[in-house]
Amino acid sequence: MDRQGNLYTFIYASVLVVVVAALLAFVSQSLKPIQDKNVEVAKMIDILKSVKIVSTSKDAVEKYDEYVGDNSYVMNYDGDKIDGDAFTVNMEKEMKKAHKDRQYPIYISTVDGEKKYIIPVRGKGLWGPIWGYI
Amino acid sequence: MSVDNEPLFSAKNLKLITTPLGSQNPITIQVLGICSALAVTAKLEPAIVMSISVMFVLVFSNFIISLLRNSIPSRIRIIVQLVIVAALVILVDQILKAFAYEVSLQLSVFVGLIITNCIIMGRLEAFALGNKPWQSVLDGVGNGAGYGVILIIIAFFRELLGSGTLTLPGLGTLHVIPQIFYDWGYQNNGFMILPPMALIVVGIIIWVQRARNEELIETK
Repeated sequence: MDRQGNLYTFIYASVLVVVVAALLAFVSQSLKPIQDKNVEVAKMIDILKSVKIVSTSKDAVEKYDEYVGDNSYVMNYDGDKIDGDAFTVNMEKEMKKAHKDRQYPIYISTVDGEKKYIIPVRGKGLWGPIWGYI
Repeated sequence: MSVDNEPLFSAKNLKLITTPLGSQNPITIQVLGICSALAVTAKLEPAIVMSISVMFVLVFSNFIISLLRNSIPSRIRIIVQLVIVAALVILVDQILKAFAYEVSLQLSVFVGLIITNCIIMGRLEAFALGNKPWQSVLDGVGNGAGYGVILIIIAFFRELLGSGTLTLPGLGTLHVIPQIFYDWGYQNNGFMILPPMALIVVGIIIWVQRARNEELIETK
């Protein structure tokens, strides 16, 4: 086959793209559980940081269980508690909903016997959205 | 081009590794890959991870393109190179997100921007398309190391003088400047953490290299 011909070029490009896409899809799916776990741990580190508890990826889960654990709940727009797991609320998705339809997670941390409420905040930054916990 | 029975590490092949470390350094001589050299060198750890990532992409893209060099239609060779490089970069990004998440956050968009690193496309076009796989791998190792060495030197001085620490993978942050220095009035130079100082450090490295290597001194 003529290696500079249109048919060869078309088949070459198609095969290359399919092989690369299949490889990347496989790698992405294989690593997804580990990546999701990392995102969860990073979220725990950020939540703990807001009450001045320094943690690393190694001890974040332990410290989160110690200082926050199950002390969290979800609120609606009117401030009433509603069913749901605060930790799994995705603020990025919630911010796209109308104010009244949003879920608002609240975390409660007990540090040295003192109760502290942790609220996620989100806003516009220079390059994209910025977020954190106060 | 090498002859078939040439030893794997012949003097000619070894030169492919050593030349980019010195007189053909991609950053200080060819002035390629400067953008990431300025952006990820505020701390040592991201600079080391970035160097390894670029070397990985460079070695494997050189190897794959060299293997395929006789089958690639010349009209779409740049597209083929970009697909291979992009796939390898995504692979690196996925691996970092899985096994070095904190570093991947620090490197942020710069891992993805390895695709646009001029060193990689430059080596593919200039070397891998015309040479055998083994030589291309050595060329990738040499240029990756040449890029990495400069990144690590810049990051070493920026972090040491800017933060008083050295952050190493697996060891965490080491406080190198003793507390007594701070008690005596020493202060970290916050300017070192800003990108302009990376440019100045690169300039100093170029100056030192040109002063020491007579081949690089321009006569006019």
